[in-house]
Amino acid sequence: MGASEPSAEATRNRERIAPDRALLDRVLASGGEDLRKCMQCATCSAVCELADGRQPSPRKEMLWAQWGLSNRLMADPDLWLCHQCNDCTSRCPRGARPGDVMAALRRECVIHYATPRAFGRWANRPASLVWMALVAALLMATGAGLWQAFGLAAAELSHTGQRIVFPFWIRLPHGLLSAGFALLLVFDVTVLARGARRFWRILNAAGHKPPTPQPVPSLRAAFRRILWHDDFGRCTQTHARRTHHLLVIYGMLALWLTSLWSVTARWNPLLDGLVYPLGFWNPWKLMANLAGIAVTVGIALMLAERWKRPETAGATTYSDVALLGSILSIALTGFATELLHFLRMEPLRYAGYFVHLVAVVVLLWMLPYSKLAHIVYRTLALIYAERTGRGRQ
Amino acid sequence: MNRHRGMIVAALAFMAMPMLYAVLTFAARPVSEQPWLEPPLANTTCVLPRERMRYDHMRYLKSLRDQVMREGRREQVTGEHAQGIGSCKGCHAHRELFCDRCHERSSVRLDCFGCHAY
Repeated sequence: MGASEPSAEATRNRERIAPDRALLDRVLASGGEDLRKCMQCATCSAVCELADGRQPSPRKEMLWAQWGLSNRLMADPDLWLCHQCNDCTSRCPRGARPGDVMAALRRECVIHYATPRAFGRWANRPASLVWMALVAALLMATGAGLWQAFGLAAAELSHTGQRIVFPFWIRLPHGLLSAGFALLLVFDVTVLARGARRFWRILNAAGHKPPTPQPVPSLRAAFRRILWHDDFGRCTQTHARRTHHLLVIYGMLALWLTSLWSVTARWNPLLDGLVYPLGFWNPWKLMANLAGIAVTVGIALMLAERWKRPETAGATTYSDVALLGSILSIALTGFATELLHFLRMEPLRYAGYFVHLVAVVVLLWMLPYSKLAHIVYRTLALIYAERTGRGRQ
Repeated sequence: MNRHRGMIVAALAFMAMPMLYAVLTFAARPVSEQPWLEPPLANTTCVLPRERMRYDHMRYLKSLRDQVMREGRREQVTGEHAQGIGSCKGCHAHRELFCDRCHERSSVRLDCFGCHAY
C-alpha cells in the first residue's frame, strides 16, 4: 500500500490558502488600521447582538482579514448582516476596532463585485470625486448645448394640450434631463444587477443549501427587516443610528417619489394646471420639503455623531464622507435652488439648479461603486440569511 | 421599538397623501363644457364674427367652394385667403388643437382632411 488516499470528506474540506496581500494592505490603509491588534479572543462575536450562534462574527472576519483570505470574505454574508453598532469595537480589549474592519471589508466587497472593478477602485479614491463632478458638469453642459443647437428647447405643450409645461430652465429642458437620468438609472441597474448576481451565486456556492428553500417568506421577512430597521434596534451602543438612518432613507424615498412624479408632468392626466413651479402648499412640494429637511437633519446628525463620538460611531474614512457629503450637498443645493426660485433670482437660481443636478448625477454615477451599493448587497445578505435561517440562533 | 414603527407608518402614510390628493382632485374635476382650444397665433379677427364661425363654418366653407369651383368667382378668395382652407393655418396652426377638439367632443366625424391637407 502506498500513501493512503485522503477520504472524500477531507478532500471536500481541503482548501488552498491564497492570501491576498493587496486586500490586507487596503484594509490596513483605510478603516482597518488596528486590525493587527486582534488576538482572536472572540469578545466581539460574544457581544454582537446580530451575529449567528453557529457562525459567529466578527472574530472570523478579523482572522480572514489578517490572513488576506479574500475568497472567504467576498462570500461572507455576515459582512453585510453587520450594521456597525460598534458593540464589538467598544468592548474589544485590544482596541482592534472590529466594526471599522468590517466597514472597510464591505467597501472592498463593493469594489470586488463592481463592473468594471478597476473603475470601482478608481471611484473610491478621493481625487476621483472632483473628476466625476467635472465630467458630469461637462456632459450636462454639452447635452444642453446640443439640445439648444437643434432647437429642441422650448415651452412644451402637454400631450393633452391642457397645459403648458415650462422647462425650469430653457437651457436644461425636461426632455434632456429625463433622457439623461433614465440612461444613468439603466447604467446603475445594469452594474448593480451584475454585482448582485455574482454575489448571490458565490453566497449560495459557499454556504449550505437551505433545507427547504422558501423564496417568498424569506423575501417578505427580509423586506420587513428593512422596513422596520429592526436590526439597528438591537444595537446596544448606538441606538440613535436607527433614527438617523430612518430619517435619511424615508426622506430619500419621498424625494424619489416626488422626482418620479415631476418627470411624468408631460403626459400625466392627474396633473392639472400649470405644472412648474409647484406652489409652496402643493402636497408634493410640502412632502418634498419635509423630506429634504429629514434627509438634511439625518445626515447632519450622522456627521455630528461621527465628529463627537468616533469611538462608538466608527472611524470616518473617505467612503463615509463621500456618501454623506454628496447626499448633504444634494439636499442643501436643492433647498438653495428652491429658495432662489421662489425669489426669482436670475440667473443665480439656474446656477444653483445646475450644481444640484451635477451633485445628483455624481451620486447616481457612483452608486454601484460607493457605500450606497449596500442597498443591494445588504438586501441580498438579508434574504440569504432569512432563507438559510442565519442569525436565528 | 414601537415608537419607531409608529413613526415609520406615519411617514409612509404621509407619502401616500400627495398621490391621494392628485387622484381625488382629478376625480372631482368637472368635465368642462367647452374644450380647450389653441389661441389664434395672429392677433387679428377671423373672416367672420366668432359666433358665426362657431356655428356656420361648414356652410361658409361650402359657399366658398360653390363660388370658386362652380361659379368661377374668386373675389372672396384672394390675397391672404387665396389658399382656401389652408389659409386658416395662418392663425390655427394645429388642426389637432383646434378643429379636432370640438369635433371630438361633439362626436362629429370629419372626412375633410382625408383629401385636403391641413
